[in-house]
Amino acid sequence: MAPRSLAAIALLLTLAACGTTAEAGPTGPVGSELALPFDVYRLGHADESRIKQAQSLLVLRCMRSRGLEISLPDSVTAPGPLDLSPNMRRYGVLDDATALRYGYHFPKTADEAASSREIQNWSSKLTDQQRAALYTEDGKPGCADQADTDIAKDVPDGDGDFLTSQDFDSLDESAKNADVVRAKASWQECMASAGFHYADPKAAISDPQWDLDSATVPRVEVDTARADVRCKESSRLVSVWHDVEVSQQHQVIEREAAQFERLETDKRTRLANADRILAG
Amino acid sequence: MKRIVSGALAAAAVLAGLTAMASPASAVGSCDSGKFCLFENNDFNQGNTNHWLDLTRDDFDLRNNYWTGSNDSIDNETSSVKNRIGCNVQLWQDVGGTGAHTKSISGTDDGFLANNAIGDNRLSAVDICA
Repeated sequence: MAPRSLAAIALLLTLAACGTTAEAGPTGPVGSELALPFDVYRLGHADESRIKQAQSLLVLRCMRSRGLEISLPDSVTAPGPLDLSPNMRRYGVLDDATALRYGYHFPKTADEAASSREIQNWSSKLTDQQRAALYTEDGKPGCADQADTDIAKDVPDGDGDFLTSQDFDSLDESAKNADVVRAKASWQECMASAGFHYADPKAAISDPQWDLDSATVPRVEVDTARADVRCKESSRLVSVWHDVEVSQQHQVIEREAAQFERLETDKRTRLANADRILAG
Repeated sequence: MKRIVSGALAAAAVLAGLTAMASPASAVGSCDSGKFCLFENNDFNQGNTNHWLDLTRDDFDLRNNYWTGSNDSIDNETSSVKNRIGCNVQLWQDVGGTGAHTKSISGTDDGFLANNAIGDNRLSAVDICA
């Protein structure tokens, strides 16, 4: 381990003793290291931004057609950590830097929290007329829903929750795989030898003593999360689990080929609709 | 095609001092701007007990929350939602925002979550404007 300056050591000790407050800049494994076969069937950040731009344009036109003006939050935003690495929390906390800064808390930056408050502030200030026009009420489609419908024009009919269902099932089923179970047992032994007694990583983050919505992160939570990460590394739990999911998801894609082809068409169609709308 | 979200949301009641919600029973199915609204029953409680809870901030542990004005736990009981918060909401399988996740699209509703991807015991955290 690289030597640390006294100032750095002092800072760490101070934070550890008093608990930490979650601050800027989560870190984590590179997104490509956790990529899964299902990922390509979802919209990436750039694609989502294109669609949001088109939706915003449609909403503005729709509101004007109902005699109303409205300003909308920015539809194009910089990609956040989850955009760059959608699976960064799939197997829990994965890297020591995140565990040290956030414990088990979700690694949300101050900027992200501020942006979220700004959008909510915008939403809460809509007039009754704007709200009635924007949102579906009593069966009458609002402009937001209408924009969504327009983006989905000519998208093939199908189960809109198929990919989400498969994604959730993939994680649940892979957790039962014998290799994953063995790796979890190894993780458990490692944690026990460090003085932390949990059946698996989910039990550790779910410990009711944590208040995962509090502004401060107590030292015990940090220490537990850091041990969790170390034991994931020594047991190879994440790489084993990820490999099992990759294999499993490929099998599902092959077995449900027609459904996944429909998803590809769905994605292409939405993006084409968005481009057409943006082109005027 | 439905664009919403899945599953039973164990919504977060929000502790005292946080945003919104400890108000008298709202009109059935209502959801004000600036809120992500959860309903115990299908079709936003129409024709049913009006158990609801509105969220206006993140909640990364939804296990210990109750319908507004009730002692009934929300856990695994949400059947419909409305997203009026002005942004997409990320719904996480496990506490702390871990596990699999899916989105509730801004401005959309889902009146029947029971047959959706998340289902019972599969949603434990909500990330607003994610």
